[in-house]
Amino acid sequence: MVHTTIAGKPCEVPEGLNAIQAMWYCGIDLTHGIGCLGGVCGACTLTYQLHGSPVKTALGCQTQVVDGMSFNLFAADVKRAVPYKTSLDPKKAMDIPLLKNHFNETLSATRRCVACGACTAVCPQEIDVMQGVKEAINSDFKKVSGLFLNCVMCGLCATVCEAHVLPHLVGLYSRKVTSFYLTPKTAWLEERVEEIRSGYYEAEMKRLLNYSESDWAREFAAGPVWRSTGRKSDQNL
Amino acid sequence: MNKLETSKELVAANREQRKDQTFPQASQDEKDKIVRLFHPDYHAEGYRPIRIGPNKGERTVHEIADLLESKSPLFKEELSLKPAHSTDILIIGGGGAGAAAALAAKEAGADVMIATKLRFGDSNTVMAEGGMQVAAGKDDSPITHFKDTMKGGHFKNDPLLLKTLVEEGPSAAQWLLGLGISFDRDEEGNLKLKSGGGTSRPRLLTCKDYTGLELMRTLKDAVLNEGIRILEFSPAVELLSDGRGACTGAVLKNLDAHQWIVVQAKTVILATGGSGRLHIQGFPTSNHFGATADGLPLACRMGASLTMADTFQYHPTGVAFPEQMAGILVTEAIRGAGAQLVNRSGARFVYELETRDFVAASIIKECAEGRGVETPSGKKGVWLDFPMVNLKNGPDYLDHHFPNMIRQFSRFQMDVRKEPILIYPTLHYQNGGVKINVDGESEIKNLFVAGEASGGIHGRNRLMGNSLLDIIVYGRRAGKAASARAKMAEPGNLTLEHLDRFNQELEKASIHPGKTSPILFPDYVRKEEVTKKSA
Ligand SMILES: Cc1cc2nc3c(=O)[nH]c(=O)nc-3n(C[C@H](O)[C@H](O)[C@H](O)COP(=O)(O)OP(=O)(O)OC[C@H]3O[C@@H](n4cnc5c(N)ncnc54)[C@H](O)[C@@H]3O)c2cc1C
Repeated sequence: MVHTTIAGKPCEVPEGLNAIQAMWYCGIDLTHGIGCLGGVCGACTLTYQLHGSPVKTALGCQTQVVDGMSFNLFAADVKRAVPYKTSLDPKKAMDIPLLKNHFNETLSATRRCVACGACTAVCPQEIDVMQGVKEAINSDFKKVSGLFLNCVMCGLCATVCEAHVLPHLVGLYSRKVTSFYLTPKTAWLEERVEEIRSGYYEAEMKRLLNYSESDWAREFAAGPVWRSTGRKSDQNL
Repeated sequence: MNKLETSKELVAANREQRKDQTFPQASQDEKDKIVRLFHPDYHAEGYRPIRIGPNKGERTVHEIADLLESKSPLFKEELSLKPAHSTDILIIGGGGAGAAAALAAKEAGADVMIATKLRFGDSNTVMAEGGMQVAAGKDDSPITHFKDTMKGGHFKNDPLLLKTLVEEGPSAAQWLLGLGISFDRDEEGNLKLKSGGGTSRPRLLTCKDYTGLELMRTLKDAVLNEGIRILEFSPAVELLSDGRGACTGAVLKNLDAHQWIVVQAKTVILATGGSGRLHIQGFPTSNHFGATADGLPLACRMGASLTMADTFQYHPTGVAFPEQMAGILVTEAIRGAGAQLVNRSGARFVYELETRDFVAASIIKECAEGRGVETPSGKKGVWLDFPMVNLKNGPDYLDHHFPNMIRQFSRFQMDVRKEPILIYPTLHYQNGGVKINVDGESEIKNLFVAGEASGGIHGRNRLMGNSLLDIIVYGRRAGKAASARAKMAEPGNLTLEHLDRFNQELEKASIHPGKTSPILFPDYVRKEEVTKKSA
């Protein structure tokens, strides 16, 4: 058994539980501060301390409870309205200079970053948040996009920012514009969409729709047909 | 050294030797035999007939049958049905299907409201790792996608539903790209495609192993930007009917204030997701905390039938050890990248990219026949040999392609670049669900169902990546159709008449349920003297 303190209450729990499991063990029913239980939804943010060391933050379902640990769920409810409208306009080609202006308009507080590092310190996903904010100010959205890949949008970074920067939204913004404006088009995908729209596969699809289970068995036993795409270039048709 | 460590060394010792070893695919007969003997779907004791309702006489697992035969939590409430909210479309469930439906409905001009159990986005969708199937490759087509999926589903898929799914795949991907989603791309901008179990072509669109997270944050942001009304911590506990068979709204439970909220809606879209947290047949699960199959009893009490509600997907590779992670998913893509499954003596026993039902059955067999590895608490599993991925693809491959996996295990002091992980099948996906047509409408007028709560598209076994496609294609279709319907409809009467009928049926069948459904949450809280349930 390990000794722990949950929201100020001392408890003993078996070794090898995560913080959420420890709370259940101690009779605590949870509806807030719990979500996917797999480390990606960001609902179960908590603060913890080990033997009086500095306070740290983490995700509850990803935190192993060890002897001498005390913790509190700390849901950073940053469900404030998203302060920008990223209406991505396919007709507009946006390059970096244009995006720079757009970014400054939509997430204007970002430039007020004083580089205190609180956001990075508090991130339960070990993202170098402050670096991301800096790169965004420098308009390197691609870099920011990579840095924020694993952001679970818990919003702890925004909660601790004294300059009212919204780093998690800076990350999201960068990911969106990088994919939408700064990456070449998906040519094959567009081909497929066109083909389907033109009814290219209709006849073959119709044929398959009438298949019985035994027809299917036959089809698959036959081998090559199974590999056919339904395109005219395929010999099986 | 304990047994676990000894076995782990055997796996490391013969890794180099296994690297280029091919393993034969099983014949269809062989597969059928092993699935029948070892897959939980064929475990007779796990099943019983449903005694009432639209699926009376059909078999399903005890856990689902119990829900379908439980009373509504409103059965003895004196409830005023005066609506607190009125809307064109009420969407129940804030996962991927709900969000896609909301966006499509809004785009079609309807007034939309989302009610969800936890926070918006806390769902199975956000957890998806492996990817989304879209026939986007140069040598791929909807025809191939259709055939693969039919085969995976044992030819029990509803062909019309499936046709629409595969045909709208590429345009669904385009729609998501238009919302700014970051799928993995190559230098030329084309989508990078990965293979999965049962796909004859590389067909998975991915965002590393964070595909669901990327999908959910993109959809969520789009919904928030549209200013759509969202009620969080407000799960639906009952639907409302006009007394003539059409759905006209729902009753929600405000979890904080413990009050009922009556919502009047011209159409309702159920997007409540799956059922992993029922722990069917005692299995651990990969699902989020709110996956308790709520949509099924709600729809059935209204009179909508289910289809294939007796079949579930047990994902072959759920974590068996460390126990803090029990049930958590290890994506199939890792096997696509070359990770092998090996038993306690380091021997392979199945071709890793067979369909999920067969791989899961093979793992259960291996353990049942004594070739599994025992965990300190007496659970069983086999090894998933992660380091093989780097051995085959280069030393940084895991870091580049599976950062999520590395991070999650590192938190419990395990380095998957160096050591294999003990796994066992985990309850993962509800293959069946509420029966729908191509517009996503159930048999009940104005009641639409989308996503994992619906059934038919995937037959009796879903292929990896088809669910994320399903929630986008059918979420949007339901949103659009519900919106068109709402335009022609007036707000209906709000009654609970269907409950009178339901209660009479219970009486007649002499069923006296002690419980109510939906259950909303699993109960893991330790009561005094009660031992801890596995989570
Ligand atoms: C770990 C994991 C990995 C996966 N990986 C993949 C993959 O790689 N590819 C793939 O295609 N599929 C994958 N799947 C499956 C896929 O993610 C899901 O099937 C799909 O996202 C379901 O979407 P949904 O919107 O129907 O349900 P969900 O996303 O689960 O959303 C349902 C929502 O409804 C809410 N809800 C439930 N009951 C109620 C109620 N009574 N009232 C109000 N709200 C309610 C829930 O809390 C939730 O927010 C994976 C699933 C899991 C669990």
